Amino acid sequence: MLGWLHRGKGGQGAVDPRKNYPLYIRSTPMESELKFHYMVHTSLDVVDEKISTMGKALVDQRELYLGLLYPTEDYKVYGYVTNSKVKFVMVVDSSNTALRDNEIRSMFRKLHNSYTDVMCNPFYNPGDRIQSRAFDNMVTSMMIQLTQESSTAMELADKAQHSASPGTQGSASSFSNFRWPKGKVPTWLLKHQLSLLLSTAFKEGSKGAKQESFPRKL
Amino acid sequence: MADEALFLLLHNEMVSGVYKSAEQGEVENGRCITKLENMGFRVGQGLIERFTKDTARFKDELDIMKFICKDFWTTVFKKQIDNLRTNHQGIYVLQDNKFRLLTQMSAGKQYLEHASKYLAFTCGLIRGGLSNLGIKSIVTAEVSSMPACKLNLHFL
Repeated sequence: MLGWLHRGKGGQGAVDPRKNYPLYIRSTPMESELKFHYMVHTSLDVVDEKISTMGKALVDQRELYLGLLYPTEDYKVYGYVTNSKVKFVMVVDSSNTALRDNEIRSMFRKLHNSYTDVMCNPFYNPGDRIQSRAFDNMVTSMMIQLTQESSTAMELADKAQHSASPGTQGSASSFSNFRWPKGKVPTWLLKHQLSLLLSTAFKEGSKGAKQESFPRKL
Repeated sequence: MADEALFLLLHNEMVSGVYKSAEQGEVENGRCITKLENMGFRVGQGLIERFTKDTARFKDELDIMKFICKDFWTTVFKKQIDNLRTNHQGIYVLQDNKFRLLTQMSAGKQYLEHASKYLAFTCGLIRGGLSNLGIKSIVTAEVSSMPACKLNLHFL
């Protein structure tokens, strides 16, 4: 899963690098980070398109949640734009079928609430990278929660599979009774099941001079 | 009622504190006004983020102005803006006939020359709120007769 906080005015077709820069990026696994960065960056176009289509009933103009932006073969991308032009983008593994729409919504709400807290922090300068530990912890807990849910989905899938084919070996069926101890998900599962990249939003061009060199070697 | 007085008194102290700690020549330069305005700017940014968290998406600039005049003003000053005028080309004039931060001061022309100090923070508040919503603006205030005040917004 990948998330991206992006800030900038929509309206243009191409993503203007001056206007959209990340405020926060988080991903797991760390290997395919650049791929996620690229995906999120391209999905910004879709976000802009969605919020600028006035009058069309594609998406409810009064809502902040944008829903599924576009599905690729491996990943699903979700978007959310606040009134203050901050865009959140989340990329989730497609194999994670247990994720329902309202769960994604609630995750975006949590992100928005945490972002509001960051904004009200006097030590935070709007436009900077988000370095708040509270924000980091919230994101980590969200990622863990998603990993646990995906592992539950895996077990359920396994169970269904094993009940359908009774000829499976005993070793496989014992796996379906396994439950991860709460909060202790092994790293291999994190790596293979979920990738969360939260990239932060870029601020509007007013702080253009403060832009950090984001990995541009896409 | 108590929570209203809290901000009012704090604001008054803030203004006098900024002016007391001003260095020579700063008072004439208007640097104190700038300091107060910048304070209001940062506060406005955070406030707007909190207030717009649960509201629907704004359709256009007029929508944003209506939000400022109604919801924002009510939450901060417990009343709405009395009059909003615009030329639909980026100039807005907000009129508040009984501005909360000035009612305690006078009800006519007395202390008129000091009124601008007490409006600087509010100007910054509006400017910060608008900037967080993606609008760059210039906000100025004029007081012709206390406690009524006019705020001029110029969208850039």
